[in-house]
Amino acid sequence: MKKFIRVIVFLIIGSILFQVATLILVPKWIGQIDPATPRFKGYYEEEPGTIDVLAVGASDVGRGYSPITVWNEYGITSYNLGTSNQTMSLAYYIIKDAIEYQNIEMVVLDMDAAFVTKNAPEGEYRKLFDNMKYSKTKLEALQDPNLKIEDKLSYLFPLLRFHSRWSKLEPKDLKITQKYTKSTSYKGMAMSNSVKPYIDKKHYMKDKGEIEEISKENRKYIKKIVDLCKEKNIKLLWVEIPSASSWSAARSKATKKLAKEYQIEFIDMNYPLEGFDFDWKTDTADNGNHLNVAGAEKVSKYIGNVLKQKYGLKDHRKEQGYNNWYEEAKRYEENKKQMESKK
Amino acid sequence: MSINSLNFILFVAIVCIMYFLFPKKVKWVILLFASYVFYFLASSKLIVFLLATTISIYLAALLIGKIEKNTKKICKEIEDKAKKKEIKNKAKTKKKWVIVATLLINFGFLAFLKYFNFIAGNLNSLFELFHFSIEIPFKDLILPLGISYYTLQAVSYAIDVYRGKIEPDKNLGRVALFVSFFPQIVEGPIGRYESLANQLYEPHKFNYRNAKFGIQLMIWGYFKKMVIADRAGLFVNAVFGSYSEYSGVAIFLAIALYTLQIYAEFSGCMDIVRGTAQIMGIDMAVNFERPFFSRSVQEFWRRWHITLGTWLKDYIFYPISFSKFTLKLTEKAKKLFKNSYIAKLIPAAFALFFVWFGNGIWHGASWKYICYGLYYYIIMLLGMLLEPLGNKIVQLLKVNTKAFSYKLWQILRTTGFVFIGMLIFRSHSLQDAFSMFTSMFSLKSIGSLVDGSLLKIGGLVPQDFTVLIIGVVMLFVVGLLQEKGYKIREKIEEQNLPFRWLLYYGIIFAIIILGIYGPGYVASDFIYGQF
Repeated sequence: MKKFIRVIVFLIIGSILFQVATLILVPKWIGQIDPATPRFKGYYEEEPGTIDVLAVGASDVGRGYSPITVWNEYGITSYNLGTSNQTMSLAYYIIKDAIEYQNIEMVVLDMDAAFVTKNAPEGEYRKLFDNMKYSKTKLEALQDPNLKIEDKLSYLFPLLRFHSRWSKLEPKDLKITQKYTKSTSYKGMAMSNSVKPYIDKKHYMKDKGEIEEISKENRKYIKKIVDLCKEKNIKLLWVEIPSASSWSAARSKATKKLAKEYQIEFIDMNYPLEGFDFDWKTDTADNGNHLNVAGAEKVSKYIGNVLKQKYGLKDHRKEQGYNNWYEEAKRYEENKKQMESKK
Repeated sequence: MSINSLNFILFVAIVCIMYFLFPKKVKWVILLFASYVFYFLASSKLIVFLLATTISIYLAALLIGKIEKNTKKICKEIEDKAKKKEIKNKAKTKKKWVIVATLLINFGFLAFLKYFNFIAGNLNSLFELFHFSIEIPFKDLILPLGISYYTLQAVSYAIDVYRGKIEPDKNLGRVALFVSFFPQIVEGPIGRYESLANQLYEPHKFNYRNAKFGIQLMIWGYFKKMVIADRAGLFVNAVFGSYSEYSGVAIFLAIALYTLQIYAEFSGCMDIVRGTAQIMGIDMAVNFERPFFSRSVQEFWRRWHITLGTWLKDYIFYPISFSKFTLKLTEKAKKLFKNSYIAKLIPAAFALFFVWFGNGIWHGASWKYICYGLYYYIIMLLGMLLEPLGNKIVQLLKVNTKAFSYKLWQILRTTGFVFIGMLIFRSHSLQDAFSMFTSMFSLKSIGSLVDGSLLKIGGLVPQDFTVLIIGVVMLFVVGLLQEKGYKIREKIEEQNLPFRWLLYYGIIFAIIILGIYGPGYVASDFIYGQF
């Protein structure tokens, strides 16, 4: 019995050491443009019951939706879980995982992912799953054949993938107890203040009478998202954040058709909208592919207004327990100023 | 399922749990079942060759036993000595036919699967030389897992029965388990029936100490393979892969690191195999005994791949040494050289030729492997020939052969010979080996010693060399302690718990963190598993 207990203690200590080694060696994605680690880890650190809205989708969302702006303008608490190359399948698992930790009332889903047919590269999977907590949803996602994840075991034990980083460690790797809520991501947003205008608008949103088909697989995951939201009594809004390089009239029409089928509101922000003063000359960071802070704030103000007016999302600004939102808003403004000064 | 995979560790864990949970009577069945599952997973339908070998040696042994028994029975009833002798001779001939047929079948499989294309290629070259319009087409042959190992092990059983050293086994299951026991089938050690079969068949109770020692040995093996051998392999593959881009120190380092790689890998694999068996209370033959402490090439081969060496000694050297032809040769040599040192040397040299030729060809179907074997043959022959001269020089110069410096010189000299052997072994061809050997003395890239480029070969970083140096120091210290008679695991057992656990965690996490595995690296196979 004594030997048995000794073996168990040995294994427990070994597991703790393994976890510590994992925390040290797994890469930390904390850049401003790609803050995957603070985005996901920060979400888990949020006080339960304080986030009402999730913004999910590809990098258009990640860089084009500012939860702080929505807070500043309407007092609505939202979180940005947009990631580069996010497919509909990934969006489904992100939502499924995220709603376990907050009482989410509404999901704002960017529909760009509906037309992504390629699987995300390994790096994007890593950024997501290495930061995702162990859960049934994570296991389900890893086993999903549509995601075509290779070397599944290393997603459960990322040390198996990143052990070779031992010779490339940086001081940031050793900060294993760091809290990510006050980090490079502002409630999940990726920030950029560079301005590279989109000028050539010859083909942008030109209706050629075509309608692009949404793949069977993407339809399957869209349905899963719709069903999940229905089941959990979560309102769903589809949007398309301005994107000159990936969006088209053909895609817009297909999405509208599907939205009608599911009776879900779809706002395509690539078309002129009342109260949405978007300018491709000043609001894009990379010639029409992604938005910069200015663009993201315009988009967020518009969506925030819809959330308030149409869906009745609550203003929490006068409530207690939301201090960290004010602090985060201050940091957000400071960071904007800092970025401007570096320009 | 490679031995250095998580699947293997999981497989071993399941087999061990089943082995200890099942009743005594069926424990051996669990091992046999596991061994066949393991083999089938690795070789699927090629398992028929393993089955054919097992059945052939089983039947041959039974037949030899039956002939022996019948002969004894008949001889008991006959009083006429001449007739007795005649019956015994007839029986001997019959037994000889049985064993020859068994050897032909089993070495036939090996020869066909492993050497067909090599022989065909050489014959085709010969036909071309003599302008014959014949061409033997090559075949797309896949080698069954561990065939070079299990064939030697299996035929040793049949030969031992033939020699009357052991009794034939009536239990096919026991023979099948002896041939197929899963940890050893990939790279040996090449076991002997008399010491292994009963151990595998007899039930073993769970023993904490055995399990602990077994796991420790496995962990040490994984450390050697994954931290040392595979890291050295990155450098070695880069240099040997395009050797013309390198010269001087890089070539020398590649040869030295390849020697380190193959030693750490093969002996590491043996540790994993022996450790796995030890968990279940099975003691397998030792295959390595600190070969780099050897003071001569002969001694090196007594310490390196021991079970192959003893197999070659027992089943090639002795039969040839005591054959009628060699005895005649000995007589002739005695007459010709008048009982001199050389006269004594000739029969040994004759028998040793077959041993080293066998050693070479066993490693692979290529002339370089044959040359590898014959290289050692020549080194040993020269050593034997020059031994009297060497002794005279030592006497004349009054060299203190007991001094540390003399022993060190002998060790370094042996290691030098081994390096050249390894160069032949690893090179793509003899020509490449020769080119590499000569370019080793070039000073062209001496700059790589100072500009740091040497330490970046194969995608390595300078820290990798620190790991390699620490690894070599660890191998050396462990080896030295073992040479001095220390039993490392027993010594560790005597230490206090914090020290022991620190040591265990240290080595386990060294494997996890410093090991060369996973998507960042291509998991590398064991070199000796290819033979």
